[in-house]
Amino acid sequence: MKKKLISILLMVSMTAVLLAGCGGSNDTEEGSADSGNDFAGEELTILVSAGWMDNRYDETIERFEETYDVTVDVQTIPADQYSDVLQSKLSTDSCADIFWIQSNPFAIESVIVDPEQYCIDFTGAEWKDKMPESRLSSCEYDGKLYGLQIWHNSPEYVMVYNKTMFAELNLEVPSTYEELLTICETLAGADVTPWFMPGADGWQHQLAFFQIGGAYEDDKPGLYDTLNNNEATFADNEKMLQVLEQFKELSDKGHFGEDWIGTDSTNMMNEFADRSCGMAMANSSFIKQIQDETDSEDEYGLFLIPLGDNDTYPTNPSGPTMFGYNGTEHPELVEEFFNFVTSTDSLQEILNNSPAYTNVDMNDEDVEQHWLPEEEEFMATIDESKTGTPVLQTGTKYTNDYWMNFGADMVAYCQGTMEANDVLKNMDTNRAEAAKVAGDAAWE
Amino acid sequence: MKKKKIYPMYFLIIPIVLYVVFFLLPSILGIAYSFTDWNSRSMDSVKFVGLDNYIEIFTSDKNYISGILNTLKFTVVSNIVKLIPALFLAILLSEKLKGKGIYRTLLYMPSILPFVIIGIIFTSVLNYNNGLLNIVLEALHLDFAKQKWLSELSVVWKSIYGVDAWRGIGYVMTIFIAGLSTIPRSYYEAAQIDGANFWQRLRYITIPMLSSAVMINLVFGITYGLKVFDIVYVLTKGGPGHATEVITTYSYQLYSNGQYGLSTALNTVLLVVTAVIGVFVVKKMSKQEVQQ
Amino acid sequence: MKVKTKALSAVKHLIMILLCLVVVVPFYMVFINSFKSRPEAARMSLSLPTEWVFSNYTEVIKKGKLVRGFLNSLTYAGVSTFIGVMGSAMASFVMSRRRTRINNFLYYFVLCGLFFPVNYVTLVKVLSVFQLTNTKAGIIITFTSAMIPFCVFTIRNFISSVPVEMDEAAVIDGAGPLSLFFKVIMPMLKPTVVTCFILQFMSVWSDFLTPLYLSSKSSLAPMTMAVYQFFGKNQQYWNYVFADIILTCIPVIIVYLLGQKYIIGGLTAGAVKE
Repeated sequence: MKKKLISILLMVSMTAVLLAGCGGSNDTEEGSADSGNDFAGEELTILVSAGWMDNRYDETIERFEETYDVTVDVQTIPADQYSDVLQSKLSTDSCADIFWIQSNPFAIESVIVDPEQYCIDFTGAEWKDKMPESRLSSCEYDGKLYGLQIWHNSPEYVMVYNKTMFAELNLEVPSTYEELLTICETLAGADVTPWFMPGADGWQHQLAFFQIGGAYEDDKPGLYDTLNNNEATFADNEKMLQVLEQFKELSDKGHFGEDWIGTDSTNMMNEFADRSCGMAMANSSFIKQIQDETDSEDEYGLFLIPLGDNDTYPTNPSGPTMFGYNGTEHPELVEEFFNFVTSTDSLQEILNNSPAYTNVDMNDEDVEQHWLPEEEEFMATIDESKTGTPVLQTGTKYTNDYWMNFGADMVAYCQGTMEANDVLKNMDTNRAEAAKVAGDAAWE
Repeated sequence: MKKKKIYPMYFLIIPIVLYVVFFLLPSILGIAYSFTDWNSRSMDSVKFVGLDNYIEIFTSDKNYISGILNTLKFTVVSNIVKLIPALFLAILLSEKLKGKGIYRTLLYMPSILPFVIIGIIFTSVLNYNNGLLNIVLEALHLDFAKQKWLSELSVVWKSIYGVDAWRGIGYVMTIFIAGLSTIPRSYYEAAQIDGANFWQRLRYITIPMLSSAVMINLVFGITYGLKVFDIVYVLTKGGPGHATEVITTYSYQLYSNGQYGLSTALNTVLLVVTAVIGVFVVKKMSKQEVQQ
Repeated sequence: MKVKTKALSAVKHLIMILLCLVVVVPFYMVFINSFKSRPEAARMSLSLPTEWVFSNYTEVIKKGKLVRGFLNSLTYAGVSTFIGVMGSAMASFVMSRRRTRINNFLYYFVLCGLFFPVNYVTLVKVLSVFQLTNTKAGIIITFTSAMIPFCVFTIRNFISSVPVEMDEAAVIDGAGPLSLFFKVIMPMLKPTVVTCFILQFMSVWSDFLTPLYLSSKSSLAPMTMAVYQFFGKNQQYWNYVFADIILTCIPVIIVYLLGQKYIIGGLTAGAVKE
């Protein structure tokens, strides 16, 4: 009897909660059907990975639905499954009308493989001019325009640090590895985790190696090209070995936190607010997050990752990019959507609805950006000549595909079960495999 | 009585047809792919490569062998860790005990949680600095027992077994309880009159009569262990380094990198190993059942 | 004697309570954090919320489209499990009672399914032949087919506990195969069938990969997919995640509680059996 009572109670409370929530979800029925268009009643489907659209596009999509009297169905796939699901849908001809990929100059070829077959050709579209020149290489292939990339241009994954704490401890922003090491010792002495490193995420710690791509290029000019032509290897590259060794040194000395390998980034915001850590790699917008969501009254700042004495800026012309599926039943509606989403109003909405982003990187002067003072301050210190080289994972072919493997190998190296050069060798082997599969002539 | 009439074959049609068309067929087609060079670039034009993929598995320097060994080790240990305590718990909760319904329900709860949630919860609980487990150990003045549960090479597997047991014991226990419920009380009463103690009752009555339940739990436990993916993936993703890689995590990585043929081949190796062991167990326990 | 049994009983209770604590604490953590604000929830501590944020639940239901997801999950889990378990029970019954060579072969044939891995790509290709991709029916058929090995295996093993004499008695009374099965055999198989039903229901309920690969419309998504809306690489709303988990677990707890009765009922049935 008791069990029945509990079940009934649970059912009642659940129904109550569901009904309470029901109120809000049925209000998209009123649409103005007076735009005299031929799309009325159609449904546009979008396939996207978690984190690429989230709720930022909701307002714009609602307006699109009203304007054209259509419904838009966004299918958000968990990040881990996304590439599998996308491949599965493309190969079984069951893809949504619009799909996204994380694009960079080589991604169209390696992820979509045959854009002519799978993507709508947008060559000649008006919105092409809205995209900055540096991003076009991620959107075009073989001279044709396929993708639309609306992303931000904030510094990505540079060092974020607690300015107030540094000032209290009389620390200056480091520009060499030695300086960084000294700062770490001081911070450690003050019982603070010097460089918070969320190794458990699996995808963050290797940023320290890849974001300073410019340093490798400076050390060996032309490196990227030789890597892309199979004329050079990661293995035995002195600068890379040096960076790995520095990374391990910091790990061994406990400067990443006592159990960085087992710690993820869930609580990183609070770690800063609690003053338990002094610096970490993050996007500049992370500062905004700390300010908005915690009580921290400290000031924060940015500086370039100084491993390997790096002084280059992590230029990264990549980002989530949307494509039209060539097998769609409504190609004109898809085109309308792309036009719609790049209008000034839409771009402004998207920016305003992205609390984590401070700007939208499009050629549109009418959009009001929300740059952080910290960002502007940081960008002012950057030497233009140091922004030419893209980060290592975007500038070289086949590298990004093995991001997670490389990260796992780095951990193995830090735990003493692998040599630094073997970590690099694995990357070479992996890239060779990918190149072979792609039929890359340079690897014949 | 005419067996043909009261045990008609048409009872079998629906399950068999569904099983063959929508489960077996796709699975076997999938295996066929393992003999090709199917990858993300050759979607429509796969080429037959025979045993190449299989040879690659056993000769590559990517250490798939250690993944296979880890899988086997996990299968054996996780089953021992789960089945034995589950049996005792089932016995405990089948006798007269106030509130056993509540205990049973509570202990079963963990198995309803999706793996991704278990991953979120336990990566937090097992965190070295702020995780619940270490904090509790500190509070109990057991500081020396604090560990880097998910990153220290010597403990990480134990953590996986622990979380897997937390999740799985309730399930195994439920099957044992159902099995125990078919053993008549009178057998125990008779044995007690004859002076048998707990262990003797266990050995001569409970376990023999539970052979079906034991077989079910063993077969499921073994197939689960060999196919294990989620619990390892959500806790460590196969790390730290490659310390906790199992067959399925390698297969997943290969799949994510677009090497579908190789990934399917690895899965097929898994299938063969699982089938051999599974059939062996079933045959052995069926013999026992007949003897009864 | 009395003291000894009392002490033993106390020890048993102690063990059970400790074990239950270990089980309950993580659930408690999920529960208590589902009422916190976003940054507070990120700490995942056991402390009470500084402010009880009940709106987490309404937000989650709205954003995660949980009503629709709930109905979908209910349909998938309910229908597929019902057909799967019923069909498997009928098949197991015949396979067990009538041990012909064909039936034995079919049994091991079905059993093999326990070991076969699922391949979503080929599954979609097969479904498209029958025009079942992107449909609820296709998803249900997939779930049903996949659970047959498990159900057949489990149920067939317990059928031997139903005496053949019952069959004979029923036939003498003039029963045909269908009424024999449903009126006489099923009641005796209840504990097994219900256990099987519960286990499979849970399993289908929490399976989100199958609908993910088999459909392109989010209107077909089950309840368990919603949780992914709330955490990704850069944005994590743990408070929503936890609220979503609680909501997703409630139906499953209900099913288990309702089914519990039958498993207990099995105990008394066994006692009557001499």
